[in-house]
Amino acid sequence: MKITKQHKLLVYLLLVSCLLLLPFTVRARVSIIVNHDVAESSISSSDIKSIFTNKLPKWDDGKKINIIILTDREPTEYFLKQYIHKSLSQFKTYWLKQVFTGKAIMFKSARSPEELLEMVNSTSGGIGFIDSKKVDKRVKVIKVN
Amino acid sequence: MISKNLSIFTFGFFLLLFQHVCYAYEFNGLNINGFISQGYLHTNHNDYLADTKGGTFDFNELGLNLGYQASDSIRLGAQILSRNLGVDGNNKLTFGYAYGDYNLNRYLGVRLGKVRIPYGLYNQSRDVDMLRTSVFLPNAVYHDEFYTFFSAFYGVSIYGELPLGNVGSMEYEVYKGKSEEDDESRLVKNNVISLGGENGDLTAGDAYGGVLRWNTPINGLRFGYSYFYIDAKLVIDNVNIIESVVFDKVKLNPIQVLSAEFTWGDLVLASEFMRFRQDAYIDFSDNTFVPDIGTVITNSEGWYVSASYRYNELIEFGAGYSEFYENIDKKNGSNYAVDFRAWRKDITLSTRFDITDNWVVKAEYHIMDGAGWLPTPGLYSDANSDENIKQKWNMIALKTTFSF
Repeated sequence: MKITKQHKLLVYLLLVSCLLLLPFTVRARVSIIVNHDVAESSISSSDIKSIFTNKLPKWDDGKKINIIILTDREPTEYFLKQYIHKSLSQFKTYWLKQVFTGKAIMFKSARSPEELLEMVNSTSGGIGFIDSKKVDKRVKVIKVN
Repeated sequence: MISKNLSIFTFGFFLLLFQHVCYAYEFNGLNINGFISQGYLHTNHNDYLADTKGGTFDFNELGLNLGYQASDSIRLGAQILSRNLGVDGNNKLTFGYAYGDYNLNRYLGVRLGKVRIPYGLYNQSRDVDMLRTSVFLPNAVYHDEFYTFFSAFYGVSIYGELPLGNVGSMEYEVYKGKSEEDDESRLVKNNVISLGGENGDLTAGDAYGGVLRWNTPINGLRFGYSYFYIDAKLVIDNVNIIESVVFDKVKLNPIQVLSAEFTWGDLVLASEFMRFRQDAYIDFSDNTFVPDIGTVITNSEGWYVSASYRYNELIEFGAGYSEFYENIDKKNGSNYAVDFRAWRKDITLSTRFDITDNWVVKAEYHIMDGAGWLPTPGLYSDANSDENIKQKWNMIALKTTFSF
């Protein structure tokens, strides 16, 4: 079969489309999950950053935001880079600084997605992030604007 | 020698005790974190920060942090701190901070108690070694000489963050209270020795100030401005034939710092510029015929640039350069008996090893030029006398910290 200019253009457009879609595909890998007692159904990227850097300590109804971090490396590193713009070591240092200057109490850690789901489910005002495929009904997924 | 052996023993003991404890404790909502550090300093000439010529282990910190979330809005926190750096601290147990925090919302919160002074980018965390690449914060801006005044105040602070839409956000903290006083500090002892007195009495006065930090819309780029005022009174007793020398109405009036920090991936660049004016009314007590000296004004200045880079999970590198001038009107040392006492320039190379999540080891090398604000001769040894002091000198700093 002879490769025509139209074929080349089609391949080019497909490649560009894939590249354009890539960020959305990657972003969809992580879901932001909260306890069912959290009224919010959507949240902005900047508020996610504020929450996970201890600058936004309460939900709109005044309830304390309780952060739960998954210690699994893969979704955590991706989440931190995407939303918080920090590496894992920078994030740890940032929180140690918050804790050792009395500005925060250290967030809780979950050692597995199952434990995270259980902790978010049982913690009032709880928030975490997880691989989207592992979400279940114990938690509420909130939309990121 | 007893102190040296004790600090090494203490560190070894804690390392053994906590080797399996790699997380914070929580008891009924009370969160407990802690750290313990031991350092070693060695200068080839001149004493710096401690009895460093020939080497000293007189350099350690131990902190126990307690945090309790009393309600959605109220948090209580305290740090029990023991530190030792030369004559400073002497491992006396103090509160690094101890305050209640009422957080109304993201825009407004109030802290009441003993609060860390929000000076520059890093002052509030200066005692916590594992939060930085280097062993020391740049001394040109974060003076150990004035640790007593710079560390914390007793009073109230109001803080928050204001969103600025497309131009980022502005963090603020303003405070008012009373500064710390420590008659055993290097600041007091330096003056006692240089005046030939017997002891010193430091009375703290007002402390107030504030900080603004602009988080720009460029990720990782922030700027800051700090303003800090304190006053105090220092009396040195039994000074030779004069009964006492009184540094009355001593004012740091004010200290101002401009700060910039840029984090780009694993690279962190920072620079700060500090200037402060020190006013001191000096008299020779009320019952002598010696006339008062009157008010002496000194304008000091310091700045630094630094870079740190995390190479991998184990290793982080750092480098920095700083300059400090005791009196900006006499930067070249004119009318100093030893001209290079007017400045101190410091090239710093640092390496940090994160052996585990809880155990950090650091090695640092300082290439120094000048002897500005070194300890008074006789405080540690005679290394800093006019006859012995050297313009070019170096320091090795080693430190290890365990935290949980």
